[in-house]
Amino acid sequence: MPKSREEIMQGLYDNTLWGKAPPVVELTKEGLELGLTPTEILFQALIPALEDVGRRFEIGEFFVPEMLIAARAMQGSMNILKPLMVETGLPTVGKFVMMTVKGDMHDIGKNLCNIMLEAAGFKVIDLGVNVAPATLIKAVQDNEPDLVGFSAFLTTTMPMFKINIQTLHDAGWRDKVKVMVGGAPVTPEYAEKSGADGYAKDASQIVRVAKKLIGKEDVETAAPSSELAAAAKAIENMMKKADEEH
Amino acid sequence: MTTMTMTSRERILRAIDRQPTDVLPVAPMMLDLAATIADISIGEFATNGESMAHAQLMLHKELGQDVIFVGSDNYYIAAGFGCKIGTPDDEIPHLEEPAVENLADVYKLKVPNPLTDGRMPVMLDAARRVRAALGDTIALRTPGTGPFALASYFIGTQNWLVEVGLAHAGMPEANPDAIHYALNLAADALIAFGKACVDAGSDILHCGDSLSSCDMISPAQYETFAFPYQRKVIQAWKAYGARTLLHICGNSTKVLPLYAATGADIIEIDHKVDLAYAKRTVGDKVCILGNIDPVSTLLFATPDEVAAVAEKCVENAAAGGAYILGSGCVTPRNTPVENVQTLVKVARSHPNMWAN
Repeated sequence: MPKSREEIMQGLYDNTLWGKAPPVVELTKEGLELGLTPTEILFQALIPALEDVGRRFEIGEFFVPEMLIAARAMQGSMNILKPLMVETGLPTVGKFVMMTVKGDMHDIGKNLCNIMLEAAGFKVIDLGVNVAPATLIKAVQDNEPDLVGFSAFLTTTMPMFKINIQTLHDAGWRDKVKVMVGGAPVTPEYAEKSGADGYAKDASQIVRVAKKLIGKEDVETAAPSSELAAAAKAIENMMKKADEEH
Repeated sequence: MTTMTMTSRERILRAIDRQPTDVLPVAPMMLDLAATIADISIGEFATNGESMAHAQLMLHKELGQDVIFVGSDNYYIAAGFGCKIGTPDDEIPHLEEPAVENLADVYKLKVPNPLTDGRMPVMLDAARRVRAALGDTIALRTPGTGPFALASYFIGTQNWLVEVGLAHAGMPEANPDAIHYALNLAADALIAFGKACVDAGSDILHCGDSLSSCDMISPAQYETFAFPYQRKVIQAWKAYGARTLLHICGNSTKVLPLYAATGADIIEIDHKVDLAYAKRTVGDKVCILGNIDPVSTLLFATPDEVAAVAEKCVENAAAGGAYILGSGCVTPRNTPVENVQTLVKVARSHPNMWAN
């Protein structure tokens, strides 16, 4: 029995939310055959589902495994949609340079943040893990971001926040970018002591804080397709990368 | 300062056994802070048993705490399973590559020999040296990571959490049998290493499984994929005559009764758990160690502030005994020594006024 467009959209939403990868792929194909556009599928089903995942994580209904399988389910659809997407030239909400600090190899939380930011229309430049201050400065010079984000998972690497911020200052960039920090052991007090402008407890909060810091809290999610392609790539990278825990 | 009539080892063992002690026992979790005190690189500390023991003995001389914890990181067993572990000179070791690419390949893995494989011999060497230097005066704690964390390194932590998510949700592509096989392998490796630690003179075997914290996985996932294996490891260790410690940082409030049900003699909890609540909930079943924030308090606060926080812990948990003052997780390597000294001083100032 053929499904209606509404049924397909609802199915994409539900199956992404619950991390069911095979039906998300099937429904994406069916939706395209029925004339749904990639943009509709992304904006009206996949991204709202991922936002719902973030909300459920924030209230303690979902945990890291649920977030990861939802991202994995979304990835299956993105693989189909990505080649179909064309540049629309819409402006981004802001540019965000993201990294895990020097000495720290943890990236699950950072990768989840990237997905949330990209889904919300940020252009994210991910420098990866174990990033030296000099690499940060080079990336800031090359990309002129609105925000930079430092992630640290260890009490031993958290002091790098302050060092990175000092390095930004010394290079003349401190007043031109907003600095966000986060990671499991990081507290709002620690963020403030480090000299950061903003702190997000986890990936579910990052978009709200980032938008507020650059005065765009009223901007609704409006990601151009090039950013969604980047989001797809971030999910892909995330699923590939191994991570670790202390 | 109250009169001290017991050795550190007696004090800790009596606290575990719910017996009165002369003063409040104190045992903040300190690993690479010892390398800072001894002025050696983290790389050397983590890979050379003699250096690790030397550094821990120097730190103990400064502080006089009741427990020496040999260890540096979570990957010294994983290396024995074939995981690629980076050991840079200036950072603690980390996982570079998992042992196998796919979960289905865990059936190829073999339990390593604790006496020869990975960096387990480094830990055992350090344990023997500390025991030889201080004899029975000190309580010796040896590392053992945890089964959930160790199994995650086999395929990489992120992949592992995806697999746990799929299995828990009952997805058709999930492979719960392979997950449980991996967890059993990890548990068996920990049991074998624990036996070697007991032979090396260890008093307290440490099961540190923070990946199974409720900051990461749900209480239901904890109960299915972590708890049965933590209990298995801890019960086997106890059969070797060891005291056991379960360390899981993060907010564990909802699963505290399960922590106690593993049979661990001590649970080490961090500042995200309300200490008074923990004492009320499981304090009659298990000795509690914690829960000073290693970062905001030990790293950043002044000695006076540390003393105030420590006094608050005493107020919340010392009554009735079976409490050890300490940090909920590793004390950062650049922590001011005066702050940890303050912690020890507070513990020593409390006589055994709480015992019945």
